[in-house]
Amino acid sequence: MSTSSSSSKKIVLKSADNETFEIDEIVALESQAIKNMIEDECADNVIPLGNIDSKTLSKIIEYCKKHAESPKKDDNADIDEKAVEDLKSFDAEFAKVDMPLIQDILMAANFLNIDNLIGLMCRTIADRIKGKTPEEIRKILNINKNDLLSPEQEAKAREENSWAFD
Amino acid sequence: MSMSSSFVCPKVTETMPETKLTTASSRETRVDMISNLPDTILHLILSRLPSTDEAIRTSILSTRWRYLWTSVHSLNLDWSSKLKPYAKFSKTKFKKFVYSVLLNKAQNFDSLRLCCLDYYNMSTVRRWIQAASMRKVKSLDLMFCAKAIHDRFERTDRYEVIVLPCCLFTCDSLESLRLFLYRRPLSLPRCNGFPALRVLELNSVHCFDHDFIERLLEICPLLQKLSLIDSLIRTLDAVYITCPKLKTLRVFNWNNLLHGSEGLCGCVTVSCPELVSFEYVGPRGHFIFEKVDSLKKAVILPEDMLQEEISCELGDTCIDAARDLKSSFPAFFPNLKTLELTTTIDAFTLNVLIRIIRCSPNLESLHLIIQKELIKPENWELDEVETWRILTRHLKRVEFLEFNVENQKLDIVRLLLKHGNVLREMVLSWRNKVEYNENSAETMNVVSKFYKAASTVKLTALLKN
Repeated sequence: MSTSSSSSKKIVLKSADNETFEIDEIVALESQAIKNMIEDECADNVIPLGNIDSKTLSKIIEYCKKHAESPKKDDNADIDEKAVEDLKSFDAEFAKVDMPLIQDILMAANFLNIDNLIGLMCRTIADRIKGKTPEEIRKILNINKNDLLSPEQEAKAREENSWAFD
Repeated sequence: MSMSSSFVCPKVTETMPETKLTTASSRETRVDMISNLPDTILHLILSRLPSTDEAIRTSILSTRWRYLWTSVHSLNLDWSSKLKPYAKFSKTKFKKFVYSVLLNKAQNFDSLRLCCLDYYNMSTVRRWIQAASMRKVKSLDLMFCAKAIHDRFERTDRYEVIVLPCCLFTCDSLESLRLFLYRRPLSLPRCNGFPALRVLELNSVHCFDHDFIERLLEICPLLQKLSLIDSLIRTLDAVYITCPKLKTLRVFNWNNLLHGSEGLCGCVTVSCPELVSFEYVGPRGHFIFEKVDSLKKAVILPEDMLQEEISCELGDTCIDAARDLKSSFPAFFPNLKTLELTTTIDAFTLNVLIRIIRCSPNLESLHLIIQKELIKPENWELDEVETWRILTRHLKRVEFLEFNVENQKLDIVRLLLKHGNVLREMVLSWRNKVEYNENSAETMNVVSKFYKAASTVKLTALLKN
């Protein structure tokens, strides 16, 4: 119940477009990569994140903040039921963004090593491509057209598992 | 202790130079970012797809995706998951498909779900199970059965008894097994069993060997979680569930009453020193708890109460259920912390309640679902105050899961408040919105005037959907 938030340690992140974000250490700890840096005592200055733009980074901070705030589900399963529900609906809302941003977040989450967020983004992508034809999936994921299989290769792949393509 | 954090964005977010940003990222140029992600991430995406054939379809997306699917560790081979749901199901193609996946050396899987109804004969299914066992599978979920054989003279369908291959039982990697057999009979082979199995679910399985459960438990020495769901287990008289490591036991027999079969019949004796959670839904059962010192959570829901429209016998049945409960609750639950109990109100069940609380000295949380009765209890009387005095050393939380205003329920509330020395929270929840709107405020008003042994007890009215 104290006002620890004002006195707690801060971490400063800098995005690719030179925007700086000051966050509480507890929020930064959601990222395994930053956690390692903090433990190694090399997080005193600004941490530059040269491959994450500020739009993506602010989304990621929003996620980490929420997850750092909610009680971890350890001992008392009964009491945390509501918190778990709350987090679930937060995650569902959070994932309601367009595919390019999802991919940016996934890329960044992978770089920052935030397991839960990687999982959430992978789930979201899977949800969006499930039940779709390969052509539709290519479009949704923006698969590189220079990398397509040759007609012969594709025919062979379809033949190998013909049941899956019927 | 405060986890709150202040996230200070130095520049106001609305004024962020949006256009400049997008050029820097993929959003405008739209490069194929996804294919640049490491394999582990793409595997994660593929493993989140509902079935293996979906993952396989990604093999023609591009050269990057060609063989990614073979690294998906959990396989889900389901005859019904099809790209074109109305296309005719080809038995031969599916069979080839299952073989090709199971025998593909490049495929490293540790979990397999196979659903093929009665499309294949048992020798084929046994071969598939064998293949999975050889591949060191950790988790198996099998839904299959043999075709019914029509007996022209008797004019009935007979079912081949399913015998699983021995290699499944001796598979030393298998940790979790679920069998869904469409109410077909299963028999255990005479072989040593499951050296590593920890989780077992039998769903819609019929077992006619009279010592089935006992033998099953004997061959699962490490079993921690056992679920018997809509399964008919025919026994001569009593079932003895004893298992040294068992932590969770669930018996759900939702359907059996409807189908007129009896589920787990006879008397069930539970003797599991490490059992933590016990859930029972089914026809009223006779339970004898022998060694359940670790039990922390028990949910007991006699199914008779679910069948609303059965008959006006219901009242009697419920009382019977309660009576059974009483006579078969001689055990002492030293560690029981949470109890959810569905019952009816009458003086009798109140006695049962007191009895249970008395033999659960550490009970902290009590969830009561008290059903409406068709037959009004005539001799509603509360137990002697003496009994009540001792019930309250640990009880911290009571929740009425379906509260509606009845005097008897208010009496229970009154008594629990009066004697709940350490009670912290009392929740009265409604399921019916109309009743909630009409009655909750007034009820809370009444309840707030009751005498409370614990002055700090928090009273809450809740609408649950």
